[in-house]
Amino acid sequence: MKQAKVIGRVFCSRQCCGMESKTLLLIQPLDWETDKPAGDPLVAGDTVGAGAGETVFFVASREAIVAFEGWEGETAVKAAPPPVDAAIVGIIDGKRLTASVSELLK
Amino acid sequence: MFVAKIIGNVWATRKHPGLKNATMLLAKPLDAEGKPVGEAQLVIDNQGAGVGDTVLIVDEGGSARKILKNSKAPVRTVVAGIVDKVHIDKRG
Repeated sequence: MKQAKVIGRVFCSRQCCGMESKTLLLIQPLDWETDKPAGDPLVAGDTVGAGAGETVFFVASREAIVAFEGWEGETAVKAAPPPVDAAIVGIIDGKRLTASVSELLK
Repeated sequence: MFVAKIIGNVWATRKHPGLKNATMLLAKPLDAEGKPVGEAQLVIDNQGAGVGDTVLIVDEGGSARKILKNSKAPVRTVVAGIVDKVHIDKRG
């Protein structure tokens, strides 16, 4: 799972099956250690109600479907999961890194 | 699976129901000689690994959910075990 910053939102008036009620957020993946952008921005389905500017973590490919399977926010639903390949699954409150990785790896 | 070193941890209250009370650690993958290689990743742990431990990470959703015994967990990287020793056969 990668860290990312929510930098925008995507609105589609016409979209394919199952994606109608899902919020699609534009996120910029960040490196865990340096918090620097790592890779290109991508669009991810949102399962936790993340707002703009928040730091989140997301899952990709098969896990994104599992994240939507049977859940609508906190309530379980029977609807089929939307065809997404990235899903935000958590909003980071805080993280702690050891002083330096190199000294840990001696 | 790959061997990694736990370098930190992350806490988040608002997260997916499938991740309820999951401890989240940051793991830096190691190569065969034990040098860090690649990007740090967020892993879910239920083996009680702490910062500084060398761990074995499973990197596939199906097995990850089996380890966590939770079919709803949207995760792919889970701690499968804590590594005591990596032996490299130098005679080859």
